[in-house]
Amino acid sequence: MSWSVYLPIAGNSVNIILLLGLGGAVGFLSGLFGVGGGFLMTPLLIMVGIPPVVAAASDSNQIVAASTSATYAHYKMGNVDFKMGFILLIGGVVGGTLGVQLIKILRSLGDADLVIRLTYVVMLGVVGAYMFIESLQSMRKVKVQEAKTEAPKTSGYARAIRALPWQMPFPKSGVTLSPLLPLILGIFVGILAAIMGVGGGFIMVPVMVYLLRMPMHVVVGTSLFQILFTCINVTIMQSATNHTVDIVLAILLLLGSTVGAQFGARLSRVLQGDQLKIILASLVLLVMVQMLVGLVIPPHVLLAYKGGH
Amino acid sequence: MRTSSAFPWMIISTALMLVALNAPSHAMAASQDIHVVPNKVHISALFRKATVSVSGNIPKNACATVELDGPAQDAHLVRKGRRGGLWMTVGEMTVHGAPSVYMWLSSPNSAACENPPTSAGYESLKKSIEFKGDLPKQSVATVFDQFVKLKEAQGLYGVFPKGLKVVESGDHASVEGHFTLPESIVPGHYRVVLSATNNGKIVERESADLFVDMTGIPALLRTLAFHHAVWYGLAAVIIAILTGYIMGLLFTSKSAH
Repeated sequence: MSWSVYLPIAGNSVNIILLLGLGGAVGFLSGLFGVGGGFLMTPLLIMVGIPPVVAAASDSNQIVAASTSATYAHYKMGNVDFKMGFILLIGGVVGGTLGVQLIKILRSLGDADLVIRLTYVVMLGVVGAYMFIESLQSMRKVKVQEAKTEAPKTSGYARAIRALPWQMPFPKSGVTLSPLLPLILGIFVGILAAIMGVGGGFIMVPVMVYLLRMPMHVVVGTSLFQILFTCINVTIMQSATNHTVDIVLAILLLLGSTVGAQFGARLSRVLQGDQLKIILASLVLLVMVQMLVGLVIPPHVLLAYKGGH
Repeated sequence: MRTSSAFPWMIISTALMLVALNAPSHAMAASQDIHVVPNKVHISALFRKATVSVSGNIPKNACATVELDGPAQDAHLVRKGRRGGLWMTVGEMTVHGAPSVYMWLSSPNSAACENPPTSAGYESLKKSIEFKGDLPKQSVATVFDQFVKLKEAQGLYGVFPKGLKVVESGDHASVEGHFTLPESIVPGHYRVVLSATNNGKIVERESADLFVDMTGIPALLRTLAFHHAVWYGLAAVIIAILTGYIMGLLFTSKSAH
């Protein structure tokens, strides 16, 4: 038996075990870190012969399943801040729409690819390096600093966010903020996500941790909740306008990813926030290095099919 | 009276003449001298690759070539180039008139094969393929070579010199070869042409049809995706949410025990 299945929209035949394995691995990361995993899954699908546009669209469909599964698991653990999630989601939708327009302008100027790739490398590099260093310092401090009871200094950023109007409590996240802040940050992440062609989970997570000052476990659950809605929208839009969602591919990936997401969510409960951050930072830096290598080493073929990330 | 009774016969005979004129020419039509097995390939849920055998007869001492080409499709491509020392997309282009599949086999080298016709192999494609868009300054030939490389990597294009087995007997020779149709082959009407050449001149040419169609679940899903796109998208989302929810429920209840 060949263990291969024909994918009617991708127009290709792929090994079932391979797809279940890919889904499982990326779903595990999704449940663990609260990222959709599109920045990992889409390039992997392209590598196994799926056309880029079908890979990106079908991946969005499987993220719907993985994030439903993981959001449910995190909801049961009390890790989803729905209030914050909705505000970020509104910002994300507005930002995504602005980002798409920005890409159109850049394409007409002929600089879109340069901007996309540099944004990718810079964002991954900055986010990954900052998270890695900060988590490492934090883990070291915990050991040394427990005895010290020095009052924390109020930073300029903290004073600035307190000065914003309509301050309101977000009990689940344990913070009091103006809704303008998550809205503006949601727009910012939405623009970046549209430019980079990804869901934006790996940017949203550090934004929630460092700029919204939310606890890591609530960040993971809330990020997944937001990703769920973003990917529902993308799946329907891609099906209706481009006919690029391969349901067979998505089902095989989601069977793996929903199981993987559950194991990821369980492990996230066992690990400490800093440990989670440092693993995610390593992963982000790894993807950044891979992208950088792709920018420097000449490709084997100088033509590629249009579409994908 | 006579004129009116002859009228229906005139119409019928004219119609028969028109049918005869529009019938495909037998010079290039399906021939008894070329056999394609199977001549119908079905893409079903478990389709992987398909091997198609081609056999036929050519005059003795001639050079044989077999060509498979598929329906032409427009392809949208991006071109990579170096900018500021970094490799990235530097232009977009559309390819017109490129067959979805092109494979070419030839018999082992003999005196008759020394000067192949200019229309043989990839040379014949160069004339029919047109590139439009941001083309590089160097030449279209470079783009063509890269396009062929891209298609070869997918298993859709291939040129296989000595890919045919020729056995001579009496005044003719029998030719045998096979193509492997890749997973990414698209449904459509394909044409297999067996040519006999001598010093660059075609002395005989026969062709046969090969049909590739999609059946069963893949055909049903493709129809849904293209003709009921919104419902298809909604179904995809509902399946995903339900699977995710059920998995979440199963794992939560498991961990509760």
